[in-house]
Amino acid sequence: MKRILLFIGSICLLLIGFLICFNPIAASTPVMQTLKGTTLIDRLTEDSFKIELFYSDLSLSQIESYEVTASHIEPCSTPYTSFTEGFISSDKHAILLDAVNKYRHFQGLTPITYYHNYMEIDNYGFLSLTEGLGTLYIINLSTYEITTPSFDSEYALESQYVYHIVEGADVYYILTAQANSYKAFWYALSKDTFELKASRKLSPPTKALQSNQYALDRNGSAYFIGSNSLLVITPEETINIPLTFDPDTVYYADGQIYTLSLSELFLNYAVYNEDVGLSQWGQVNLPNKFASLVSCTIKNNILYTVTYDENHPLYRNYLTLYSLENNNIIYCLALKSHSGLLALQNAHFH
Amino acid sequence: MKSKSFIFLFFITICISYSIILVYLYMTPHYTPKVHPINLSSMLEKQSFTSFDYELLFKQTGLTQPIIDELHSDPEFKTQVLAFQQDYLKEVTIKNVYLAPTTFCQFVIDPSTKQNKKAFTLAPYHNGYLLFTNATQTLGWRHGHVGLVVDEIRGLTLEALRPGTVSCLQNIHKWEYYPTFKMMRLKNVSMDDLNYISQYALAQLSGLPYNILGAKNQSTLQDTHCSLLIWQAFYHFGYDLDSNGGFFVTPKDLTCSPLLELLQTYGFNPNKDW
Repeated sequence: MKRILLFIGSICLLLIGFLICFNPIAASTPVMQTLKGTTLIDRLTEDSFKIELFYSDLSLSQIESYEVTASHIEPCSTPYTSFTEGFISSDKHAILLDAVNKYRHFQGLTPITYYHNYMEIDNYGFLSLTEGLGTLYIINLSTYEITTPSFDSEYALESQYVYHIVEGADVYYILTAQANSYKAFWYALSKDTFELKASRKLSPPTKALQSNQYALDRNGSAYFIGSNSLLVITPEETINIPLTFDPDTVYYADGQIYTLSLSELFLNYAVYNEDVGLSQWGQVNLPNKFASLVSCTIKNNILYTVTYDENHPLYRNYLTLYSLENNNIIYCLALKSHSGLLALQNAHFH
Repeated sequence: MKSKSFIFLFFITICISYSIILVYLYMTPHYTPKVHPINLSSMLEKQSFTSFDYELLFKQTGLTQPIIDELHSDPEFKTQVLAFQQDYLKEVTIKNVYLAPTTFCQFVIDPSTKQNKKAFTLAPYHNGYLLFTNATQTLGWRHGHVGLVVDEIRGLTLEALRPGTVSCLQNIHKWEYYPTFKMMRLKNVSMDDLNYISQYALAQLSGLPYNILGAKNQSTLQDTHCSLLIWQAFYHFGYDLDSNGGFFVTPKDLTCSPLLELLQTYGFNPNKDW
């Protein structure tokens, strides 16, 4: 009897040790429970948006996704995997890797399990590593045939991060950032033959480092944030656009260029058309002071932002929608503290 | 009967010992320096520092002479160093996060919200610098983790994270959330040489599968783990960073290498190697 009690006591001690020391990342329940009463502003005239929010821990080992509309937030059962620049469903991740690794096997290359970036344009997926255009895999999403660009460019083999790919009239434009350099590379890839038709080395402002500080439009013009300015490098010329604010990010969406910055209380923005003409500009209120921008995207002249307030005692993340027609907040959802971090996947807007 | 009793008692001893180790590891993730904060303002106005000054600055900020000298040319030198001092001497709250079966990691959190919170700021870093933490543990062994700076401009490190993954680029600023941290570099080596090492690592050591039992002498690179990746990168250029020369190289083995010098420390007891 004594032995049994001692045995049970040891097991309990072991379990208590685990429970005290190690807490798994919080489950989805706390996020759902805070939805009631936390929609701070809802001026939407219709249930017009559906987005996916991602929570991830710092090591990107646990990823939780939620589908958010104006009326509900629900956890998604789809498992996700991360790549350097975003998230992808684990099923698709496996399919893409299988196709790419078969191709690499035929080339005598080792298989990969991770990549830097992935984006889809029409019926093609573009999966990139960091070893130059030779490791930009163009995947036919109907047949899963793989092609890589054919090129004769001194830049194409250098280590670089593929930031943006945009479809032009008869080419795909590609904008990359050179590894360990402030330079960028610009390419035009034939849509028919995937042959490199043109390439250039660009000199962005040193402030432009990350993918959300570069943008590319369907005419092949590249945009970079600078100090109180936006640098635009078109295929023909270079233009420096002075701004009334110091931009943090620049995006291309819906045929326009959006550049944003956050101050203590406001989000400043300017919108340019593809002729580099100013379409609109303004200032919108942030949901709270000293918010940091986690992610944003634009669709149908509505700006979607996820911000982070590290000082708020309860609500750290905010999903805020702005109508850029009248600079009003039309929706604001405060999300209770989650033990992970929040990111917004641009490609998952509906 | 006796053997059964022995096995039973042995099992009990293991369970109790393991529980005690777990609690010990939980209690000792971060070392807050046992020094009184000193007003460094007047010292930081000096044009040059003595060895005594550097020693005092290290005890108050965790920064060594190379970093102090690099920061000294910055117009915001005084503000920056005072901020380092504040971070270095403050108490923190730690949270354990489950990463994988039997592996856990510790991060600093805000005690009121339990959210991840930045613990400190990285000192200036360059390609080829090594980043260490002992905030990860498996089955009671505080093995830690190490990464290599490979893109100082865009703030990227190359790391082998855990089983089931491959070595990949990570955002360097995630290291600012660990409760313990060391930044080190190869001694008496030019920045160009460190850059060659980091570029070799970026080109050749990315995408290697994680294997905790990965061997050091691989004729063709097949697999790696966090400290082996570092060893592989530097060994290619003739630097053996394994301080004890064993079959297995750990982050602790690397920090003890006489070839490395300390640049910044946070949360580590300065009187201990690991």
